[in-house]
Amino acid sequence: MGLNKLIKQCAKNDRKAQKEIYQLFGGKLFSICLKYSKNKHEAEDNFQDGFITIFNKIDQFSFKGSFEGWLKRVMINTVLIKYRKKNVLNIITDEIPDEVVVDVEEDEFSLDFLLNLIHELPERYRLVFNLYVLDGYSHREISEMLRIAEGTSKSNLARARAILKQKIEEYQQGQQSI
Amino acid sequence: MKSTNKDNNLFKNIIVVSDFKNIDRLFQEKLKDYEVSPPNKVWSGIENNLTEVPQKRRIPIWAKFASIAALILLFISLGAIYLLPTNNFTANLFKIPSTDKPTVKNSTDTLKPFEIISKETANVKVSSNKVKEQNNIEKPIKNIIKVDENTSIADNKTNTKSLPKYLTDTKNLAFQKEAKVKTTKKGIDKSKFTVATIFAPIYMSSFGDGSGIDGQFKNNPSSGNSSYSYGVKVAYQLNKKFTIQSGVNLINLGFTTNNVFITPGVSAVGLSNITSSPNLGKDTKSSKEFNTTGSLNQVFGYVEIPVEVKYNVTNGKFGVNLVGGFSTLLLNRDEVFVETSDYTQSLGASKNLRSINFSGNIGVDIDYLIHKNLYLNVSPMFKVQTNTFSKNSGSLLPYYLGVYTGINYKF
Repeated sequence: MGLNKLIKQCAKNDRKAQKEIYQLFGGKLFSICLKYSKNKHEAEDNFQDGFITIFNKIDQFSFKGSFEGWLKRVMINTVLIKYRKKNVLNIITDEIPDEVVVDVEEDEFSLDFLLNLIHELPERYRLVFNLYVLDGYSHREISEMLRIAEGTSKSNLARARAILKQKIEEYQQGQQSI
Repeated sequence: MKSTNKDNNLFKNIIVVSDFKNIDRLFQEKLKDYEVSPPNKVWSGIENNLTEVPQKRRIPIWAKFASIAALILLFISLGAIYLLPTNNFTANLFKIPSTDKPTVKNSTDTLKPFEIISKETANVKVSSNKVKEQNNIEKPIKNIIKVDENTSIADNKTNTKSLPKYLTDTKNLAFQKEAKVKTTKKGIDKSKFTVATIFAPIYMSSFGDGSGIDGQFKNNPSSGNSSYSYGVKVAYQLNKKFTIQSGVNLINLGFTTNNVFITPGVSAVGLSNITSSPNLGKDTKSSKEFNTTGSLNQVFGYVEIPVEVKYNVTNGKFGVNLVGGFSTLLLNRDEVFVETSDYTQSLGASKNLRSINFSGNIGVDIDYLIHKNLYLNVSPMFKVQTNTFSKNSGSLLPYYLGVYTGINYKF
């Protein structure tokens, strides 16, 4: 079955087609949830909610552009909406710390270690870092998605980088002292 | 600035030179195209939520439509059965009429002198006329006979044609159609079947004029009666556009011939009066005194076997189709009643109804998807009957309009 036909079947609430889509894209989308969420447990919750949203809205997919891109957007939005709801209070901190450029060696860090670093970031920092660094959204887009000021997005990113840098250095120090 | 200097100092101590990347790129490399298969239990969670969410939102919408449609149809049906007929027709349709003598019986006493006088003059003639002339009504009319306009009995006699020939003709035709139905059913495979229940309020009327009772009522105003039809339908989808459908319906129809003059108890007299002096008829003083106007109701029922082709115009939640075809109608009920404001009486069966006749059908068919394989179906159909009557019925060509509604189930 072609992808387009599969999508159309999903729109008719065809369970088989839905499962096929889930199997095709589940891995990629789950990894998004892992990156954007606080921990694995929340990632599973968000992933489930995201997929339910996807199947409820799949009839809105216009067959223009990439389906995978659409899926990712829906998934990311589901997660964002969730965390946006939680953080009613947005403390606006527009002061931007100095740009940190950290150089690290390749293959020194395991995937789990990096993922863990992201999980440990404060909520907003995590989201902004993901959106900007991993998914290539601009600060303008992020400010709209998270309903924050563009400057806030920038400062959040800088803070996220600083924290990550610090953690990596601590890790490296630990490694060296052994 | 202090802190960054401090950081940089640390940094210099730690990192090996060669092939560095900045922190963004580190994360990008590792995490951008990374895939993890979600735990298996998550799918069941999604599945459980999917069954609930769409139903919660969708069912109320169609339920509203369906219940409104069902209510409208119910009212139309009830209205058609109980309100439209103005002459107690439905009462005849559903009840077996009492064969008791009419309640007017008392009045025959007063008529007796008149009866005796006429019998003396035309007794022999009457007895022979009684049988020959009422060629359309099996039972000779005992109490009543109409007299109307200037019809002569001679007319009726010439109209009479040989019945057997007609019967054999129609039978041959019918067998061909039956064979057709069977062959279409043979082609049916496993897929694309629809089974449906049908109910339809029917409004009947006719083209041309005449009477189904007797040629002599040709110029009387006649009208069709509203009724209903019900049955089952089987459809088989040939391809995307065409569907062939058949089924079995029971249908009751009725015709009313109005302004019939009825003279209780003096049938022979009234008729003989006419034969001797055709121009007098209803205008004579004597007949005006004793006659009452009433109507003759002819009720007939058929087993209808339609064979129709459906052409799909639009698909989707609302499916619109054009329907055309024909029906074979097998007579299974036939009765004639006379009806006045005072009483109703059965006159027996009419002879001129063919046991098999056909109708040409044309209409529109609208499907509305209720749920998965269930469709609500509304199909206004127009059906014109051919050769309903074998003779003496003028140019009467009955047609009927029915709104066939039902629930379809697609396999």
